[in-house]
Amino acid sequence: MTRTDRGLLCGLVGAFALQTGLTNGLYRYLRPSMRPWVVLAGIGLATIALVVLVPELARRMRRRPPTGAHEHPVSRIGWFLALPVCVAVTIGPPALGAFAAGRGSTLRDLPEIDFDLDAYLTAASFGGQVPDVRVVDFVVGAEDDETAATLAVQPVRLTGFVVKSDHPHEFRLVRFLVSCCAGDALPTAVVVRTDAAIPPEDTWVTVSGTLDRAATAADTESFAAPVFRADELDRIEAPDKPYEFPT
Amino acid sequence: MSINPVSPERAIAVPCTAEGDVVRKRVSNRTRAATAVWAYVIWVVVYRKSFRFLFADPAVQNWATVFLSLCLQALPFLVLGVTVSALIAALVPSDLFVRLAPRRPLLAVPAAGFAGALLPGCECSSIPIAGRLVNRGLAPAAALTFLLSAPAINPVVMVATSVAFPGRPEMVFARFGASLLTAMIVGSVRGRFADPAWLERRLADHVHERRWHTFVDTAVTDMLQAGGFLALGAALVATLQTVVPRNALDSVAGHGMTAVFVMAVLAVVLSVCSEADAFVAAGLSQFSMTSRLVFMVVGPMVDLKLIALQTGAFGRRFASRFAPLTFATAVGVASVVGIVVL
Repeated sequence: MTRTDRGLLCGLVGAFALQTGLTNGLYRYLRPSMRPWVVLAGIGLATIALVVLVPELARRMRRRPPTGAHEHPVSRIGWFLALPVCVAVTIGPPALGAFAAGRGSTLRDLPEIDFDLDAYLTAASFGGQVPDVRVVDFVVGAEDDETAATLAVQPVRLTGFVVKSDHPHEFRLVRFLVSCCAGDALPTAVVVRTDAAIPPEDTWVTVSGTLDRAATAADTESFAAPVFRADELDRIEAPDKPYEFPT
Repeated sequence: MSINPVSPERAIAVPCTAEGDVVRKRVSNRTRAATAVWAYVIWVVVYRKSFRFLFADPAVQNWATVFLSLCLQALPFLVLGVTVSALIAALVPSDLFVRLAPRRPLLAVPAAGFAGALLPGCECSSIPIAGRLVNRGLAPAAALTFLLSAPAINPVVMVATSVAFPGRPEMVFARFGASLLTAMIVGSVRGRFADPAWLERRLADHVHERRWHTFVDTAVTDMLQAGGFLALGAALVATLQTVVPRNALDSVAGHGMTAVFVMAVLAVVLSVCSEADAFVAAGLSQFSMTSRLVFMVVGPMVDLKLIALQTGAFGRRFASRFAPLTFATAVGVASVVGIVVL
């Protein structure tokens, strides 16, 4: 591996980090608070690549042989650094979807949510608007008797993607909760019952409606996912932030 | 695109002797391999759209998302670790640690363990730093203790643990104590019984007359070494996560030693970053508290990604002994602490 190869590899990875760190592509992989660190890492790698490459280029222009003092053996493993860049460019994967949702564990404790759902709903529904609620807040709220009573009467709007269900007039609305990176994503799901036509899997939708407490208590099959009675269902474009993040 | 696929390295000046011919042949083979890699990268970049149909399968896309997120998450910490490591190489006189570190391992090991609490990062930064410290003459026992304790007991990880287990401060103390104890035990055992060849001097010292050159060379070399192994480890983890669905575990949950063993293996396989593993452990509610503590103690010390990185920094022989020793000690210590405290 020559000095030029090393400089180019660092530059390539730096460019990838900058490209991801400076666009919304970041949200497919990481929690938003990682953004400055990814950008800094990108700047660092790009700088070191320039520091290595510019003198090399100058040397080659002058057709001088490489100065032996700077050639250090590096094992070939370094070439694997090109792999993430190649994967990002060729596959350019979308955010985690129905495939991962069908494989995530369903027996999970959700983190405790630190805000007053009742107060939030009362304030946000001022003037008859339907407030947006995160899927994780809805799922956690449905487990508590007091908030569940509010969610059963106060219509809310949820956003997520569609995962098929075995029953007619029903689908699972899923959203991932990501603590650090997509590698630790936990699926959170709501069972949506609706009279509208059910969109294909992985379609992003918003649904407005209320918690069906009786059906939630009766439903033993869906692993404690709350049942949501949807009055309205709209297809939407995939949002910029495909995952929900705790706090 | 400024990449030139034809490397002019062929013009290298080699003395015209029989030995020179061999060297020239080897250089030209290497150059050809390098050219092939660069040509492939350019090909992929230019024609990327026409390849997409090959990768439309949801399993492949899931693999790619997990792989890239693991790489991107580790990258800032790797860059931090490599920078600190290169700064040590460039600025710290090679005999400083020998002079500063307490003479007796009895003092050096706990000191190194607590010093680990000062590095606010995850496991990816501690490996290049520990490798450099050994290289600078710090006793292996102390460096290995630091290597194991830094990612497990630093303030960022402690805060994440207390957030993930609200109302259970004993979990934070149990994690701190069990991790520190494991790090000190493994550090002293490995340091005392290490055969002289355990460190294959993978991290050669690139001492130049100018410190700036030392810094740049060390940083680039360490980055490629550690980064290559990181990509390899991340690819392996993403494959396992895609092939073995996590809900396969829903039915094997248990208590007692079964749960402990399952969680210990899970920590190795999942390779979750030490800053996030508390949230994952908190979510695995079908397992006992002790087994979740084992998950959080084993994870930052032994996992697939770390074994790959350790192989890169210290050599295969070292890693093949160090990982099982650490795994067994971590499981034992964390189980005992869990039974006593939780």
